[in-house]
Amino acid sequence: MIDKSAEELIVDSVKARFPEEVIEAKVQRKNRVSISVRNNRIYDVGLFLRDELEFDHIASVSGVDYIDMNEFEVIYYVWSINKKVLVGLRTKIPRDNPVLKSLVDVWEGVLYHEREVWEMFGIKFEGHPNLSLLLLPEDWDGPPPLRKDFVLPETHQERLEEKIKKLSSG
Amino acid sequence: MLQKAKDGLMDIKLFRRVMNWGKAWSLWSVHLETGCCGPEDMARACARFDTERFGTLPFPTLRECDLIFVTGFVTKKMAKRLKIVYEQMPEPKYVIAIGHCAISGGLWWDSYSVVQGVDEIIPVDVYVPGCPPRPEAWIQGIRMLQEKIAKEGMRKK
Ligand code: SF4
Repeated sequence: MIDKSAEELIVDSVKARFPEEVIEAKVQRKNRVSISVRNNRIYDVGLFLRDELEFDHIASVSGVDYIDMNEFEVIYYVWSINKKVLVGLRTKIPRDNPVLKSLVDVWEGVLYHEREVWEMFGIKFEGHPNLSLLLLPEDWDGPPPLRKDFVLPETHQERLEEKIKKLSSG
Repeated sequence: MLQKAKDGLMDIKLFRRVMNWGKAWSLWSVHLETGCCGPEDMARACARFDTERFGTLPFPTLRECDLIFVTGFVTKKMAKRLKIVYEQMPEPKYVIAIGHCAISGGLWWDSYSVVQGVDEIIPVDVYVPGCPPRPEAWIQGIRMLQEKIAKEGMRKK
């Protein structure tokens, strides 16, 4: 029998522990694992990854806007420093009601990352202590700018044309 | 002899020339990097291109500076800070806009977060295009600013 690699062992144990919730778990390549879970159990899967599989370093949180499918995807990238494996923990939430349980209690490092996903995509993280603007200007009042249906204010184009005229004449 | 020197000092044209000469050759620049033209700023200040030959020395306190290089794009959040820096500098002060992004928004002209050209916030004296401009272009910009200062009147700035 061939020994299983660390990546395959991770996939197997997550599948065995959460047979219902895990939609897909696969090894992408060496050191990379992708796990998609249902959005209501992402907190438990996170806890399991942290406590039993030594995933201790949160590298990033990102959002994807699948506007055709009317869904957002949130991806947590977590490293295990001992095993040298990066897990992409993904979950999909409906676009009309983008609410997800925050993983702050699991990995404290998501504080800033979730704030960024909140301001860029408008995804609410329940239980996050401080959802306020991080990178956008303090007086930002438009919709979340990285959503696919975001349009620039019309004055933007006009101002640019004015400017081109001014620069080329002077 | 003394009389001659006195007359010379009283001569407003000569006085202005001396003053402008002094202004033009001691353009100390604020250390403020807004965009990714910033590394080029370090290149032009270091030994190889050495803009201190032209009197342009990067300096940490803005109270003693006369010049801002706006290095690249300015986000809307940075714009406010840039204005504060500009207003805190004593007169005379000059601004050189470096790179396409500082001139018109460049790559990010249709972005939600980038100002379309820094001249919407502070007055600009010289524009240096490029993405990013080579240090030689920076030096040309400095020289153009010096020529501009040399033509300045007494009252202006
Ligand atoms: S002009 Fe080019 S190098 Fe300079 S800030 Fe813009 S993109 Fe960056």
